[in-house]
Amino acid sequence: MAEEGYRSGFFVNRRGRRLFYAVEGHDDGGVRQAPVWILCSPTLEEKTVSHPVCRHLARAIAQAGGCVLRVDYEGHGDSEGEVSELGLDDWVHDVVDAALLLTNGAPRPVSLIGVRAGALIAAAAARPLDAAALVAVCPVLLGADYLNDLLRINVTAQFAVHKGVRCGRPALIAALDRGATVNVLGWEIGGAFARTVRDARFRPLVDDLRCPVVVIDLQRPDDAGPPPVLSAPDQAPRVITRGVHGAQFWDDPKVVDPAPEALTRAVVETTCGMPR
Amino acid sequence: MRDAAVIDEIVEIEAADGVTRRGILTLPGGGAPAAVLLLMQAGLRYRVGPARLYVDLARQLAAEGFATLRLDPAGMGESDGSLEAGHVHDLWRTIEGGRFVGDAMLAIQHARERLPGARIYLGGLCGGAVTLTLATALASDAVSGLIAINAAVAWSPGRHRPPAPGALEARANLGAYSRKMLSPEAWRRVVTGATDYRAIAATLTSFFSGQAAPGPGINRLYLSALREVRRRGIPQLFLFSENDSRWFQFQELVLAQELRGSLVGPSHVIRLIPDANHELHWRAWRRTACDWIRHWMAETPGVRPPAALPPGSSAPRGSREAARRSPP
Repeated sequence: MAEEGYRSGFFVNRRGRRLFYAVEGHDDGGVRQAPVWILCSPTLEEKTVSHPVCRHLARAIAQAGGCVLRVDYEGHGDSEGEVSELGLDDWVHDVVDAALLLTNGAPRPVSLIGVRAGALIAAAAARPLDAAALVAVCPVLLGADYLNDLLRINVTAQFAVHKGVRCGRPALIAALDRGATVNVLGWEIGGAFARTVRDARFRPLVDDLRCPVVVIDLQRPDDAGPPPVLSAPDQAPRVITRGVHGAQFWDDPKVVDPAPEALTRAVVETTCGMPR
Repeated sequence: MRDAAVIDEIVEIEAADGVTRRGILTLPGGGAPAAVLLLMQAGLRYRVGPARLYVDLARQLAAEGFATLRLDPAGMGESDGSLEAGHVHDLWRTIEGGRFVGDAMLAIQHARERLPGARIYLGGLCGGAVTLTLATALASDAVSGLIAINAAVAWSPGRHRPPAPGALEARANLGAYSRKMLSPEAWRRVVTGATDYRAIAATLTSFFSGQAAPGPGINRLYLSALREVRRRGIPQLFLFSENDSRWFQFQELVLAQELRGSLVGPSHVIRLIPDANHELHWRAWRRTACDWIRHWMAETPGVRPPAALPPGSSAPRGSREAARRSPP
C-alpha cells in the first residue's frame, strides 16, 4: 500500500520544461490552515546525494501535520533541461511556479525550506511569494565560496584524467565568463550558473524579508556560536539560528544516515512552530 | 522547450510486500518501442543515477526509439520504505549480496505487462550491474541481454577490512599517488587529514610485497549468477572505464579467470572507454557509452569464436587496445 498522502507528477514551468514534483502530506486547500511548505533542494550532485535526507525531512513534516512539496529544478532530478544553460534565477522561477501548482493559483501564502544552495534559492523566492516563513538548513551563505569549492573539484578531476592541471581556477572562471562550460562531478555548469551563484549572498537576501527566518546548521563540538555571517546584532531577533550535531549529508558521507535524528527534530519543531 | 521525442511516465508498483515502488518510464515519442532497458540502482544513488547518468541514458535512448525504466528500490528515492543508517561500504555489500534483486524482478514484471512484445534488457552501473546479473540468473527467460557498466565484481572491503588492491589496481594507484605529489590540492588533503592512509598503505604493501597480492575477493554470488547467465547464452555487454578500479578488478577476477582473456566471446562483448572514471562524469564518455549501448541493443550481439588466452592470464595489451577503439 502506498504511503498515505504521497503524490507525484510533472508540471510545465514558465520556460516550457516539464518539472518533476512530489507532495507529502495532505493539503486541505487552506480550510484548516495546515502549513504548506516548499522544500528547495540543494543543487548539482548535492541534490542527488542528499535526496534521502530531503525526502525524510518532508515525510517528517507531513507526519507532524504539514504538507510539503519538493520540486526538481530544471536540469535536476527527473526534470527536463540542462544545467549548463541555467542559473539560480531560473530555479527561483521554478519554485515560484511550483507554488502556483501547490495553491492552484490562489493567493495563499506558502513557507519555504531551503537546503544548502537551495537556501539561496528559497531566500530569493521568498520575496515574490511573500512567504510566511523561511527555514534554511545548512545554508550556503556565500555563493562565491560555494563556486570556488565546485571549481576546486574540477581541478582535482583534471589531475586524475590528464595527469596534471591544464586549467586552474582563474582560467576556469574566465572560461565560464566566455560562455564555456565546466564539469563538476558530471554536471556541466555554465556562465549563468557561475554569475548567479558568485553574486548570491544569503544575508542580503533575508534582510529584505518580512517573514521570520530560522537557520538550522550543523554544529561541531568546538563551534562557539552561529556562523558569523548571521550573528550580527541587527539580524536579531527576526533571524534565529539553531545548531544541531550531525554529518554533512550532502557530501557523500562515509556513514550514511537517511534520517538524521537531531536535524529532523530541529526541522519539525521549527516548521510546526512557524506562522501559518 | 519540451522534447517531443521523449515521454516520461510516472510508474507506481503496489508490491505484494506492501511497499510501493516508484519510477519513471521514459518512452520514445514515435510509437511503441521494440526494446526497453531497465536501469538498476547504482550504489546508493536513487533512480537518476550519479550526476543524472541514467536520465541522460534514458533520453538519448528514447531518441533512438528505446524505452527505459528507472525504478527506485524499496527504501530508496521516491519509493516507500526507508534505508537503514550504516557505513557506506556495509550498505554496498548488502547490494552486492542481492538486496535489490526483488525490486529488479518487479521492474521486469512491470515492463512485460506495460510493454508486451518489447525485448527486455537490464542495465546498471557498479552495484547495479551485480543486481541485474543476479536477477537475470533467476528470470533468464524474460531477459534479452545485460549491459553492465563498471560492474562491481569484487566485494566492497567493508567497514573494518582494509582495502586490498590487486596487482593491476596497485600499479595504477601508485602512478596516481606519484603524480599527486605535485598537486597542492592533494597536499591540502594530507594536511587536513582527508587522505585515505589505509588505502595508500594497502597499495604500497601490494606493490612492494614482492609477490602477487591476493586482491579483493570476488563476489561468489555474482560469479555463480554470471556462470548461469553465460550457460544460458544470454548476451552481455560489459562497459568499463579505463581509469576505474572496477576495470582492474574485473580483469583479474573475471576476464582472466572466467572469460579466458577474451574481450569478445560467444555471448559477451567488453568495451573500454578511454580515460573515463567510474561515474562517467564527462559528456564525451557518456556519449561513447550511449553509442555502444544503443548500437548493441539495436543489433544482435556478434557471435564470434572467442580468442582464448591461457587461463589465469589477463588480456593482452593488443586486446585492450582493440576494446578502446572508437565506438560504432
